[in-house]
Amino acid sequence: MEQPAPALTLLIHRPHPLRPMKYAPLFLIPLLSPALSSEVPKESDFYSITPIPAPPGEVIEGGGIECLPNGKVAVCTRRGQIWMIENAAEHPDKPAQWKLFAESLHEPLGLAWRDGWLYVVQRPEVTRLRDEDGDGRADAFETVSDGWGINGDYHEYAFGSTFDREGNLWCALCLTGSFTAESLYRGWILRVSPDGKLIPTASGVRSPGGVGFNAEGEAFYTENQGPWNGSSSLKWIKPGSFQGNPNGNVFFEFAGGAAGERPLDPPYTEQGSRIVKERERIAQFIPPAVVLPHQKVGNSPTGIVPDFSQGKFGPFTGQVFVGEQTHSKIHRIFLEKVNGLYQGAMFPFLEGFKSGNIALRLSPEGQLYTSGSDRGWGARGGMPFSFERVTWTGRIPFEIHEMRVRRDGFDLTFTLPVDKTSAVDASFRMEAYTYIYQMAYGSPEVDPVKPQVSVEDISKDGRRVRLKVSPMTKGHVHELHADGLRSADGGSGLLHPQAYYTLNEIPK
Amino acid sequence: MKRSLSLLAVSLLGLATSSEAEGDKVLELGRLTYQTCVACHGPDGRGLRAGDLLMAPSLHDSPFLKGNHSELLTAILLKGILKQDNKHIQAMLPLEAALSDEQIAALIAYATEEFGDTRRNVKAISVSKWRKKYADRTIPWKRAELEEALAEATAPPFLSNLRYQIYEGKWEELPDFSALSPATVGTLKDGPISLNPAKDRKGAFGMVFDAEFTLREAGDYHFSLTSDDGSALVIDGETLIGNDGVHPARTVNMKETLQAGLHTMQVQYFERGGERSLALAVRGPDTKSVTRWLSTETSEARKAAQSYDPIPLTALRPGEAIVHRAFLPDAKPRAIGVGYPGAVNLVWDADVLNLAYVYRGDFMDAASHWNGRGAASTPLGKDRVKIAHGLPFQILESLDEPWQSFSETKVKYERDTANPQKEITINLRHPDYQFRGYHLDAKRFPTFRYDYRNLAVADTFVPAEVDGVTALIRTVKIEGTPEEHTWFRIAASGSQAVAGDWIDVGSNLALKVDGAKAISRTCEGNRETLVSVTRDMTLTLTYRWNNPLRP
Repeated sequence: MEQPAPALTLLIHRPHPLRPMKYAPLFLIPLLSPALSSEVPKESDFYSITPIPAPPGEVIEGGGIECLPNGKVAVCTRRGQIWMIENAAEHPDKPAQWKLFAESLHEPLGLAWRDGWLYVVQRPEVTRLRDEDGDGRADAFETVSDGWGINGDYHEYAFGSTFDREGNLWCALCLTGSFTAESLYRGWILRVSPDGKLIPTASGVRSPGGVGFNAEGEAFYTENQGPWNGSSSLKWIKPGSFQGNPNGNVFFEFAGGAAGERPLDPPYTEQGSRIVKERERIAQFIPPAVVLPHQKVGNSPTGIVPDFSQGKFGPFTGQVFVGEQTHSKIHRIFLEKVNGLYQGAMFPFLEGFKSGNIALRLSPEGQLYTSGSDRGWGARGGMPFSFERVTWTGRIPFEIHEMRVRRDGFDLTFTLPVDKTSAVDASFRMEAYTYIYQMAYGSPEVDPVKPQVSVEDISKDGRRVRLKVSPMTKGHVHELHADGLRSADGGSGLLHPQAYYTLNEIPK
Repeated sequence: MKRSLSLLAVSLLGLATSSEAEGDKVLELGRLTYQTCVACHGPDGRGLRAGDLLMAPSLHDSPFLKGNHSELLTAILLKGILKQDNKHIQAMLPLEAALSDEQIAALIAYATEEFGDTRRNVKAISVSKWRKKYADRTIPWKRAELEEALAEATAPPFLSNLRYQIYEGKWEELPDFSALSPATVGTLKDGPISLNPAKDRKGAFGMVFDAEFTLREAGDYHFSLTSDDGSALVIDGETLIGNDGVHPARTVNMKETLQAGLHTMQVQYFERGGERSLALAVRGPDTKSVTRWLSTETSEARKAAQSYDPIPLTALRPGEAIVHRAFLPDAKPRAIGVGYPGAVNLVWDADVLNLAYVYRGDFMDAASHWNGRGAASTPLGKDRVKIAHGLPFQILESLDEPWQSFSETKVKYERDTANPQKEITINLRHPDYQFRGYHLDAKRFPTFRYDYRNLAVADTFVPAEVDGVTALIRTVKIEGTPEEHTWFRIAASGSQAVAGDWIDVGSNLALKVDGAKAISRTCEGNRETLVSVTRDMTLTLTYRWNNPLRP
């Protein structure tokens, strides 16, 4: 490891007041020594990962994180503890102080704060906690809703969101195992209203890893590859939707019409089908908004957070970050609504976390917290658990900012202007594929297509490149490689030249 | 007469063999055991003919009997082989229930001697081990699986060009070995990695193994790396498994898609001190393919996967209670364990809104709950008594109506089928009840709250000593006006014989009721003690063991 140049060190530690993005690169250039700028940029130049060590002897397998109005960060763990962390944003300059707020809850996987109560989604129920005698430890544990079933199987996880704009908490309930629903509402998304009413909301869930919202406040969950899921994906939870796995649909008879009519069954055949075909037949079927191609980008997506930091976390305001447990990574997601359905692109964002990321939370001040474990399912990070903070260094990485679909191609926008001489056809390569929609576990990539990519137009400011793509295949992941592209300043390539766009709909 | 003749024959046979080597007894047992196989494979092992077909293949041609494939042969004998085509009349039947470990060992010796290339001696204890190993498999083998396994077994060593470096240093995490100079370098013969080259070191060392391997087919390969202390597996330059840090033997599994052809592998390892282990295994893309061990060590890896160090739970401060929510035995899944000062504990069941059981001694071991994917915690201690587990309230028009303890319903079991035939029973929250959670007092003693119809109930327990013996005093505060004929059940166990103030609830535990008059009934053969519920009533129930807790 080489020592970073002094200029960069200074930059990492200085505060980062919000600057108009347009001027930021100009401001930064003089700070970069020639030696540095000629090096190949790496993720850590732009985002630094700071481990916040657990109190001695404690096991912090984070399942949910919440930022509290008093500036503390709360984390609930798979071992059922809730900790309050002071100075999480300042550590190690001001060492983090951990204080135990509650213990021995049942594998909580969601934390949300409202009106002085900390809401916890634990395996059997939604509970709200409060410290009433002022000793810093919770003493009121009020059950808000326990209207779903559990039967003692480890797989029946319950993940919880923060509150939506109507004050509902969204809960995503894993199936009993990989294949069956043996307790009430396994394989469902439920909402818990502010007065504790349980609203069955969507069916067809298999094995979620997190539930959250995009910047518009629409709910999404992450789904793991397995039966009826050829790959892991980020899915839009349209109320009344069917998400593809039929094994929890037996519970429509308990839902009293809250989630609409029971959808038709998918084909129980050996050869399976395709989602793009079956959603013509099954009216409630909402296809995955963004496929996270299995093995290529990860194995097990988890927490979901929108970027509301208004630039304090870098240039991706309004986009969504998604955790990846197995690969110890965080993905970046751009979403757009086309013909009434969500779809969009996944971009690699950051890797090298110490354990398997499960919980994510982005503070309004622009600190991204993540915690998790590798228990039961391994993770590349290597440590059994971790709590880490991601901070923007203030430098803008050269990245594809957005990938928007057009009728005959895509508009790419960039975080920095591109070198127009590099924006030529040969700089881009695309392949497209989909997965079998089947009851068997997972799927290979199938129906490969080799679209031709050509550069149709480059905007004057070099921030947008319009690509013509032929053919555009509905239902396919369009995997783009832009290895040849260079930035206008410094001439380096994209920090992550790949993008994976899920084309559910082609604009009319 | 006939019977005595055959007895004579057997004893003669016994005489004949007793003078021979021990091994021939084995061979004889094998020959006798082979009689099970004769009906298809024939007395000469060439397969019995049935029209144009053989009942079973000739054993003289079997590749499993040539070379040392005792484990595979055992696996076949235990589980049998599926009939997937019409080449032979019969399927091979699973014999795990029919044959003992000794018989299987003897049969392998006999068959390899008679029909194979050379006799293979197997110990019954090895067979027993393999029996355990394959215990989870419930279906016979497919031919393709066996052929693949045979190919694996006869394949050249997985790892080749195997080199190692040993480094000296005391680390908390894997260092960047590439920046350090090795103290020793060496090579190992093609085959498994091993900590043997460092066997004389007391600790404070690191090892890096570099090797190559060639894959015949592309697909998902499952790697499993166990180590004490930290380790990492690097395939083709990318870190696939991190198992870093100072820890006891701990296994991390990872799946990776690999292309066919040549790959490089690096295993990094460090040992700070104390126990040491390093084990590595790989399983091929087919989910049924066998695990290949790539290390000389395997036992720690197997052990690490099976047992956990205990995690005993105690209250944070002396004099406080501890509340532990987990799956617990003998209760429904929404169980809540409470450990009180004075070595008295209980499990309250939030599925049925009632006490499930009380017990004494140590509180709880969370090891199986907080390791792996998370099973139930284990209540420690002793003298566990289940008193009236089940829903606490009921409206009984007459005392002949039975108590409904649990709220359940049947649903169809829809596992990817359009026409489900099977039904399963699931727990369903009872519509008359709503759990409201619990509040902790200054000593962290919980008061459980719930609603039953129009009643609000608070259920609190306090440990106490009664007549010098451990006891729990329970206060059930019922607010509101009950509907007519509402009953609360206080006991459904033991003789319920009354002696003075105390009701015997079995298992050396007695119960006293204050605040209401208890009545006993026998309904459908079950003895129960109930109290009639009146407006705004407070019941005090004292649970007392008849003798002190013995260590």
